[in-house]
Formats: sequence, structure tokens, C-alpha cells
Amino acid sequence: MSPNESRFPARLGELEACLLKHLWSVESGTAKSVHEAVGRSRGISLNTIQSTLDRLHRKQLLDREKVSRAYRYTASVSCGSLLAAMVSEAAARFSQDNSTAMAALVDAAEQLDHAALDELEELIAARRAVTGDRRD
Amino acid sequence: MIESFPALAMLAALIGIIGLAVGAATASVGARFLLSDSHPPELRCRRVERIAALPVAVSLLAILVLALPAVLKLAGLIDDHCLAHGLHHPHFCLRHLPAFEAGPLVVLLIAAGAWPIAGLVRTARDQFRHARLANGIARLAPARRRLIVTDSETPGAFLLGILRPRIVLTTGLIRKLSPAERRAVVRHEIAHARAGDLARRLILGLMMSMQFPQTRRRLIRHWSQAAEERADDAVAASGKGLDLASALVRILREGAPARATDAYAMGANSADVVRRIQRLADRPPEQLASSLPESSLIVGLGLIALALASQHHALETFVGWLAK
Repeated sequence: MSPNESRFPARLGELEACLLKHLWSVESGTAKSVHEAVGRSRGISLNTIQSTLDRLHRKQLLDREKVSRAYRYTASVSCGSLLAAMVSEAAARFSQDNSTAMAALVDAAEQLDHAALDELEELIAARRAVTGDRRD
Repeated sequence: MIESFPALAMLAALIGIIGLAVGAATASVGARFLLSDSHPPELRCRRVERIAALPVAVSLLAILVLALPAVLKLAGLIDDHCLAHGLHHPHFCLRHLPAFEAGPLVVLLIAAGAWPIAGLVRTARDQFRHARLANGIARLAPARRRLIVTDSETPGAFLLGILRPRIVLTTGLIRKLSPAERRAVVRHEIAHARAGDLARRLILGLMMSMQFPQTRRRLIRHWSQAAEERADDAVAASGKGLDLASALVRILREGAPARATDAYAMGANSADVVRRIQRLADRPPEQLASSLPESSLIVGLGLIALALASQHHALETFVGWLAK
């Protein structure tokens, strides 16, 4: 992953996400080919596609190289790593303020020492023995 | 001098701000004495939400109660007593509109209003940024998939997005948990989504901007714990409580410190998660019905309204004195 994770944008528009997904599936494309594949059916002009690709390039999500007279764009990040960066940013924000729209299974601040955890594990095992519950 | 409707609106705003402060003070007392861990989780959530709404409720109530005589006078239901009473203080009256020096009142309004408004703006901005991020994530994730798996070694599971909540699991969590434990974790998150916890938390967050800091911490912590226990109970009801309990222990083990005497490690939150695991593994603790009926909060608000209504002139005099 070439760009630094923290430089990933916090914001991804609908068309931007759509173009990224397209380029992940076809590996590379020019503004014209992307417009043919994604823009035309949605009634989006070639100009809009061009400026959106340019914006994604400035956000360091796309690489481009000049082939004859047009730019050929390729995704510079994988879907997985971009998703992971955005999720970890959401998680980082969650731990900062107490009211964001996220509910975590366990608070990041919740920590127990090994002895306490051993005790809890014994409690669970004892309960499983009583109920005849098997772990798989 | 300003007079007429702007003056009336400013007086109403001032009364509203006073109402916020009274409500915040009432909420801090409520948070101190009305919350108990022994109540069922859903009741605890609802009680926190009601206490959190007190500043806004008292504020609106104060404005309503003061506006009521003016409306009743216009409707001809009560006598116009402004002139008989004298104009030595501003009247909340649409016939005898108040008139006074604007300067001090404007300064007072800005000074008193800055705190709740700044808090509201901050919360709304955080929420907006978060929603934008959640939208971006939802757009990247495969369409119609409610479960997103993200590449991270830290075991984690959470919900993201208010309108269409998605469950996010990290690869670390998937690797470390057994299939049964994973299913229990997903059930827990689904229970949060079904209860609309993210939307409830959003509204609670907005209400928190009008509370005193200590009350805010107390309310949020109580609500979060109750919401977690409610989601845990939903898993326990499906017979998978022990799987969730062992999943929690396994996740906690990842971040467990080596020594038992680590002061940082035994933070305030530790007691909360231990309680959750014990609830899941043990028989759930006896849930006491609240000794205080929920309607008492509404009765309390009614009493505040009555008190305000009976002190209509005292409030007008007070506002007149503040605006002097």
C-alpha cells in the first residue's frame, strides 16, 4: 500500500466509490472507457467522469500514466486496505468522543489482568458443565 | 430601546436558557439518585434517556408556561391585567409588548447561550463527520451486505451507520474466535441494530451537550452499560450466552496486562465488563422492578410547570431585573 493510511480521505462520494469499484474490477481504464462502462448508463457526462477521476488521483487513491494523449488510471490501493483504513479511522474517532454513531462490542479502554480473566473462564466452564453446553 | 416582537422573542430565549440550566441541575440530581444497576437494562436505558431530556423539556416547558397567559389573553379567556398591574417589569403579552434596553440582554443571551449551543454544534459536527465516514464505508462494501470484514489484527466488532447499520468484524476477531463465539458476537450486534441503539445514542449525544460534565459521564456510562446488557440478554435468550461470554473473555485477553496490580488496567470500565460476563455465565442477577414509577418523572415536570406558572410575575420581574 503506497499512500500513508492517515492520508486516506475521510470522505468518499457515491460516484467516487462507483469509479473505484469499477477500476478495481477492470484493473485500469481511461476516462473514456470508464464513461462507457459506468457513466453513460447513469446519464453522467464524460467531463464529470474526468473530473472525478482527477479528484481520486489527487486523493492518492488512483495512479495515472499518460498513454498517447489520454491518462490511464489504475487504483493505487486495494478495496480491503482502503476499507480497513476508513474503519480504523471510524474506530479512532469512536474512542475520542462519546457520542459517535458506533457501538463497539467491548470498549477499547476495558482491560483485565490474566488472573481475573482466568477466573471468568472458570466460571464459564463451570456453567457449561452444568448446562451440558459444548463449545465448538 | 427595543420593543415589540424581537424583545418578546429575546425574553423567551432568556427564559429558555434559564430553563436549560434548571433542567441540567435537575438532571444531575436525577442521575445521582434515580439510576440503579439492579433495574432491567431496557428500563435503565429509558430512564437515562428521560433524565437526559430534562434540560430541553424544562426549557420548552418554561417558555410554554410563560407564553400561556399571553395566548389566553388574546383568546379572551382571561382578563388583561397588564395595565392594572403596572409596567414596572416586562410583560409576556402580545398586546403590551415589552420594551427595554437591548444591550445588557443581548450580552446576557450570548454569554448564557454560548455553552449549550457550542456543545450542540460540536456534537452535530462529530455526528456529521462520522456519518460521512460510515457512508463512504457503506459505499465501498459490497452492496446489500450487512456484514463488513475489515483487515485488522485487533479483535473488534461494532456497528456503523445509523440509517442502515452494518456490522463490522475485524479479521483478528474472526481468527481468534470459534465459529460459535463469532455467531454469538454477530447476534449481539444484531440486537443493538434491532433496538435502534445507534439512533438512540445519537439523540442521547445531542442531549448530553446540555448537561454538566459529571452528569454527562454518569449518564453515558450507565446507558452504554445498560444497552450492552440488553444486547447480551438477547443473545442469552437464544441460548448462546456462554458463547458470547467466552468471546468477551477471549477479546479481553488480547489487551490483558501481565500484572494484576497495574493501576491503569483496572480502570473504571473493568467492573462493567466483568459484570457483563458474570451476567452471561451466571444466572442473570435478580432484576428488581423500579420502586419509583416512570410516570413520576412526568409528574415532576408537571410540578415544575405549576411552580413556574404560579411564579409567572416573579419570573417576569426576574427577567426585567436581568435585562436592566
